Amino acid sequence: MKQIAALGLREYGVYNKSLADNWNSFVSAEDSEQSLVKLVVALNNNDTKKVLVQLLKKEPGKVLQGMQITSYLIGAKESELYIPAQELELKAALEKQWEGMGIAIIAEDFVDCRLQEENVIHHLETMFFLAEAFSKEYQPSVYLAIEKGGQLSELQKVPYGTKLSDILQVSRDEIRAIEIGTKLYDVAALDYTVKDTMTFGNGVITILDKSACIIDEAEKRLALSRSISCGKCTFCREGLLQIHSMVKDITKGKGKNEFIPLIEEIGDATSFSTLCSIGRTGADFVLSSISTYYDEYDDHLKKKKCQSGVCSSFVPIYIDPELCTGCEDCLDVCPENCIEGKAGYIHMIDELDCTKCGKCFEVCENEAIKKASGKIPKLPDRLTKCGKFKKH
Amino acid sequence: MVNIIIDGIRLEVPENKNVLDCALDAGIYIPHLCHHPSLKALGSCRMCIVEAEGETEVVTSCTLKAKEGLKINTNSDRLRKLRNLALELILAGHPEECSTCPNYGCCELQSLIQYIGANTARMKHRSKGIKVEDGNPLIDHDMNRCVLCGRCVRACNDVRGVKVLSYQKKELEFYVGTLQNKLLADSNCRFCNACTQVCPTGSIRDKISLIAGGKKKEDAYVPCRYACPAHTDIPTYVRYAKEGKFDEATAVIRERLPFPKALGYICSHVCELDCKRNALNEPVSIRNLKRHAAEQDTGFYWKGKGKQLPDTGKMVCVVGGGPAGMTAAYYLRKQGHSVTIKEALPELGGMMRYGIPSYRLPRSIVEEEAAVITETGIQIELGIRVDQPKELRKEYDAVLLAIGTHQGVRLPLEGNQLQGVLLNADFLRNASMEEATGMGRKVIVLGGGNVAFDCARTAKRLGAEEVHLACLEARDKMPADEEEIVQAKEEGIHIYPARTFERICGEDRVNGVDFCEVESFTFDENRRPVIVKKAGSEHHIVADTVIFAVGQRPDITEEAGLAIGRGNLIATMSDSKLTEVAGIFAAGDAIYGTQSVVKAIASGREAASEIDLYLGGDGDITEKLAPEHKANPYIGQIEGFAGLHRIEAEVLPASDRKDNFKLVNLGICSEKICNEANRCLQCDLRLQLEEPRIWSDYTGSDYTDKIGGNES
Repeated sequence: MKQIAALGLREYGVYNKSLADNWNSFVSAEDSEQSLVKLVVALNNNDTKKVLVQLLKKEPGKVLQGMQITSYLIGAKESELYIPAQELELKAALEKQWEGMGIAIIAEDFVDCRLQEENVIHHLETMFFLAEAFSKEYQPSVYLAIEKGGQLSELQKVPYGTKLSDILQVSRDEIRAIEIGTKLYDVAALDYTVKDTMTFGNGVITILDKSACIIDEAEKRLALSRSISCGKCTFCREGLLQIHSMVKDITKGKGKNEFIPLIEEIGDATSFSTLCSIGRTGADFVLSSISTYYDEYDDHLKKKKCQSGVCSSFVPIYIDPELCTGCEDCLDVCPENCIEGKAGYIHMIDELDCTKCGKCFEVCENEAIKKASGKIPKLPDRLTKCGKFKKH
Repeated sequence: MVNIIIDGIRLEVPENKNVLDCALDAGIYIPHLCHHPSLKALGSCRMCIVEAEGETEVVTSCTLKAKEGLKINTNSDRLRKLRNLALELILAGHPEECSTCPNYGCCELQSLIQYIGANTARMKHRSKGIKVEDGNPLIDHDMNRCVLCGRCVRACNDVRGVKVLSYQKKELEFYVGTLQNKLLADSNCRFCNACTQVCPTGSIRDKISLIAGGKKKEDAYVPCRYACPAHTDIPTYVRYAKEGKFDEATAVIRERLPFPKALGYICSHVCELDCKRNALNEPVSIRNLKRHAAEQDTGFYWKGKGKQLPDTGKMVCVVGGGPAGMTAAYYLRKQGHSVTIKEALPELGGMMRYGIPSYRLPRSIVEEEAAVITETGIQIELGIRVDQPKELRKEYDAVLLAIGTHQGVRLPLEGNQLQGVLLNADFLRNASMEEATGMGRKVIVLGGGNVAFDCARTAKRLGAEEVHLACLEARDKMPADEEEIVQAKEEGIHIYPARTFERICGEDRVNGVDFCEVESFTFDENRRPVIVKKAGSEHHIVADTVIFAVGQRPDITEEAGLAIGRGNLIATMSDSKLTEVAGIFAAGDAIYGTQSVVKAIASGREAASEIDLYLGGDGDITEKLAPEHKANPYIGQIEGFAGLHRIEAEVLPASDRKDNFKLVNLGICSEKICNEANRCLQCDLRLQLEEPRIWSDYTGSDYTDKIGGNES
């Protein structure tokens, strides 16, 4: 126990806390009564990438040893190891390898914390490092994978004190933002050094390049969190729903200014009003993006502009005056009646009323309807016969 | 015990008890929604958050355990804001209008909204668009109103082990439901109603029809017990029967009914009519379960046990040794009075011996159960007819008239005095006493009730060549039990429903009856019958005997010196068994007309209690015979529970029974009895779960003023 305290070993993942502190209550309680406490080892519930299970695959012995040490210290007679639901082969292999050890291997993505009230839950990586700490080969570090352009790298050991820029190996210019675990950081994070109080969550650092829209990314994270939520905690179920619907509205140009403080109020409360990591970190991305990338929200809300062009509602569309043949097809399909023109004349889209539904794109045989990338070229400002419009 | 301080109030509470319950028990209200005192804490709704000294984060008091010195604050700006926010979030998915909800006014959520006063305008409100499901028996689901507190899920899974309800998810929207949205019956629901009991909103509800009528909740929830005139604890003895504990089951029955076995054979079982299982398929065979239990009983829990108060020296005379009289005598004796039964007929039993035929109720059973009554030390005087009850008051401190209805009614019909016209009561009594009945070879019974069938079937057994039964009511309106009608037909009795009796034909002896067919039979606004006959339908049935079975009345006249009311019934004070003469009481059929043995027993019990009070006792005749036992709420899963069919009693084939007085109904065999008991919905279990309480239930207005509860 002293050894652990001395090493300053901390729980990995969302519940970053000193291990020694965590166990103290159990160790003292163990003396007085017959302990029925169980050790439960798993990934965080909010971990959808599940790269950290590689630690178990590569060195199952270390996880086992960590679990045995912990069980001994807290007086647990039984233990459970949760592995991702799809890892059935791993389950079979471990069950064979660890037969008779009193460890149940459970292939489920979700640990119901309510059923574990009396038990001690630890992250798999904590067990891994605990074993290392006892074998004297311990070097304070974490395991990380890097996701870039949708590609996930191999898990690598990153010692504390390493500068993030050294492992990410990207140039500042190509980065829009860096997502570490569940939170979003700006480029300045490249200068951060890895240390014990940093939370890495699923062990993945994701690099968002210039093509990403921060708010669109936030929307995806919220949808993902909601999809894995069990629905029991009010804030995880209803809080993330409200935030998600507001963020979605923002990406569609229907955002309102009062959304931002409300998202912050709900998001902040959600982080401490839910039981497991799904709710506790569900709003992390959106909250950290508001504080770091407030300008982007401002653009979406006030200027009705999406810098990266991801949010289709904000991309201006126009009719190329040189390609339009005045066929009136687009006029007929526009649900908003916001295309002006008549047969043989160049049609024009009224930017104000256009909802970017895309119906005109589909009907135009001349591909005259275009999304503006950058600046919109000069367009006619009054009815002009086809072929008569002069650019200059 | 440990000391904790809530809002400055020091409380001594059991260690590790959750702080929310500690507070509520002490009358300190902390808002809560997902918490229910009978369920495991979920800690999800965030209504019951409090600040604990030394903790930076707020904590849910339902999951916070009491420890020595714990200091709690239940109200602060921070807590109010967070509670408000949580409620706003919850309400964003809940219908905004309350007034159309059947639970309006008794809804915990509504009360919470009133207490907290949430503003719902900030959130994006949505309708979940879930269809109201009213296709289930007993339970309606309106899951649009559900706030996902999960109480029903915990009740169904943790408390009952039935595991029908769970959290479901569709397109990121959560709802509580069954797997694959199956109907409850197809999901192996046990219809225990635990879910309805704990739901804080109008989402999961009892069907309105079940709770309507201003009944007390426990009566509406357990209708069999309420329907039984003696309010026998039916769910408890059915549960014992299921476990094969027939001694215990009989003890439960005996707490209310001193004739379990006789009732097991012939009870009118109104309990089965109201059994909630009727909504699923058929009712539980309660009567047959009782019969089986009573037959297996060894008397372990009641023989020589029960109550016996010391002698009071008071003398009571009970006139009439039928079920009402014997019951009253039995309980009066237990209250310590000395009791004498005067019976006009040669044996005790009343209608159980001289009315109900022995093929339905073997006489040995009546004797056996009457013996239990007399063994308590009651004096029995047989063959003694009392015509002047007032005279008895000289000798006795109280008199009870339980004389039954032993006089048949003769309809004012042409030919009703002809030779060969008999009355039901006389006929059945003579048959029971194995005396001459005056019956010929071709018999017509007039009447459609159970007594009419007793007459017809008895006539058949006594050797009548032809037996006809005619009544005014249509086939589906006949008052007799269905099994009586079916069995009579099997025995070759001809049944003519919907007939008027025109006249009894014959010179000096009956030679038949003229009937007309009834076109319609209704009642006018004064509740007088209106009968329309089918034109030209008059016809004649040949017979040498006519038995009137159209009702009975007490065999008493004004000369007895008592007020006599409608139908020759003995008049009693309202809500009382006391006649207009002090010290003379009346009970049983004699005061309300021919009904049932179980009703007579209930009436006898009421009379005993009242007479005991009159004689200076406390009037409390209850006794505890069955061992103390809390029913196991974890009922578990039974595949296809809703579809389990009623197990019917075995019946002797018609060919083996129609010419003798052998027992017809053989009951349910031991192998099947547990299966039948297993069909019980155990409606009483929900009473173990606490009733929902709202904030004003915990505290008076003083308290709300003190904490500044929201006024809106």
